[in-house]
Amino acid sequence: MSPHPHNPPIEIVGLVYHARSTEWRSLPPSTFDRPFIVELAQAFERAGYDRVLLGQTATWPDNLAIASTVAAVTTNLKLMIAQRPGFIAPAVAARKLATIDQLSRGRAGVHIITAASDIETQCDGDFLTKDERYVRSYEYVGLLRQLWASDKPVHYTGQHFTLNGAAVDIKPYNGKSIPIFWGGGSPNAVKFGAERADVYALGPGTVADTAAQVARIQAEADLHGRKPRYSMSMRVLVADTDDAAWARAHQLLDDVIVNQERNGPVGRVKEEEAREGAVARKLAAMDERLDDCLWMGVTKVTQGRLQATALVGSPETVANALMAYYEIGITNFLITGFDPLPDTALIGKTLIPLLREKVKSATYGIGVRS
Amino acid sequence: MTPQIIATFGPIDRAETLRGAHAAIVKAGYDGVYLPQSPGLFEPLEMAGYMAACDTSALKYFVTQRTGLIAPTMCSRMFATLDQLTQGRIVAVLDAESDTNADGDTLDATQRIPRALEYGRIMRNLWSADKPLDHAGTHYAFNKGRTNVPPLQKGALPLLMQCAPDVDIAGSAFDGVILSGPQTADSVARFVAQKLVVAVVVEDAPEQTIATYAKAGASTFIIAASHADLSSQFVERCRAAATPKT
Repeated sequence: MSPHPHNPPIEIVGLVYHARSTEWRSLPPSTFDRPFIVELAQAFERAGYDRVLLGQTATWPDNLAIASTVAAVTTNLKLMIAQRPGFIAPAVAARKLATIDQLSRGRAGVHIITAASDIETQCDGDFLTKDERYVRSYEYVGLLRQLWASDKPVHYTGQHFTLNGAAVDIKPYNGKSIPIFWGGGSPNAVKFGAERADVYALGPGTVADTAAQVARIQAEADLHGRKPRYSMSMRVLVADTDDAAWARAHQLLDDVIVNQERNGPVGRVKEEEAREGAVARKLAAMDERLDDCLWMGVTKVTQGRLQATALVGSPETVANALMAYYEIGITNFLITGFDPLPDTALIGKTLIPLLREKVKSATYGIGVRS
Repeated sequence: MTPQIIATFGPIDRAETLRGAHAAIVKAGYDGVYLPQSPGLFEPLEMAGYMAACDTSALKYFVTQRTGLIAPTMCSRMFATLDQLTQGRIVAVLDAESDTNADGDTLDATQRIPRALEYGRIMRNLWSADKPLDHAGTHYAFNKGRTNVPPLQKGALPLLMQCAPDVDIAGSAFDGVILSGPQTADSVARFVAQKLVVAVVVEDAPEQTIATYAKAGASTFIIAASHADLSSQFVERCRAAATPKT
């Protein structure tokens, strides 16, 4: 097959967290490690990552503040700042994001998350339902773009917001807008996100499931003449050989189980978890191998409370697995390891160069393929 | 209380001007920098987060947020995180004075004060809570609100209200006030008598104005951007004027 010179470029995205917590070594939620934030952000930049996600929840440290610090200690690394609409007035959010975009010389991006859980949004005083929240997010993103683009004060009366001459004098660095990422798989998420998103962010899945999701979202986006990029988050567990990587996976699973026995459930607890049966769960989990090297092990032992689905193998194996997603339309890869600093360096050294090379000769397409 | 001389930035339109102005303020020997919030300015929290990354001085950041535009639980986390990032150098300012109707707020000047009092109480409670808090108040309600990472200064993070001189904040969660515009010595003295910190914005004839307010008991002097002087001699003269002669 001949090379495809017009293949869209990929974007490799990391994740900056505020503490040295991992699935296999829990730290108290009150932990805040300022030097680590700086070290990790710079490690991603050094490893050749293009961007980092900064997560937002109703309890974590504020990611706008952290993003501002990350912008100051990096040079080229872009930002994907998660924001749940509903807690900051749109004009204020527009100014905050534009400020970070200016200070970082055009490296800001905002990831609109509409929150999967009513319980979480109620912690911040929001009592809308999930379906209502997506309508609000749609309105919110429309306002952000309008406020950034407008030279005049904006008057607006909508379902969830009213503006009486709101002025946003701080403009994005490019004078126009800041990339909008959007996540969510419910019918309302897709209906509104397909129209709004510059980048539609998906969770991990098999190639077939991911292709079906891309096709479904793109069908909706086609109604608005839009072609968003597609992002997928995926953990990766890399070692020199496939066997060595699977040995790491076994060890990791043991460590996660021990950590949970000592420190309680890892991830966001959705319900009380029975502690017994951990070993039985490990055995069941090790069987959970989908596609060629898609591993559900940590996802299973943590009952899906966090995004721990991983591709396991040598750099060549994992790169080929990721390229299968590129071929169905994924161009943004949120890929992180399980041991933040060493894995970031390892991914940068082994996996990222391979991916960039393989993209040159890949067959890119959107949606389901035969 | 030791007097504090606080700077205000002139126009900042990009990272380079911010870094330059910040370095000049540190070099001149100011005790802090006041970051007001306004549609025409870079956002204060983000500026402070950016500056904090490369600042090992003792400079304090007076970071302003207008009430009514951000959920108080989230604002609590913003200030707490910023205090961690600046290693305990944040003074939180809630601006209840500026009109926020353009941004979608519906309250007027009188209504903003009780809301700011509730807002300040919520933040103060979250900064020192060791478990999630429920709240059902006049302006805000939430279930299990939480600030996982408290401020480095914990419950002692200074909290000021920017407001008109006739506002009553006695017995509230606020440690003091920021008064902008020309004030009478009496209005300064009234807050001081209630053991509140009084910060005044100083414009014309800085040294003379500072001496007058200092005599009335003000301890924090914010030099307006229009009268910015980045020489260490100026800061020393202000400091001398702020120290009442015994």
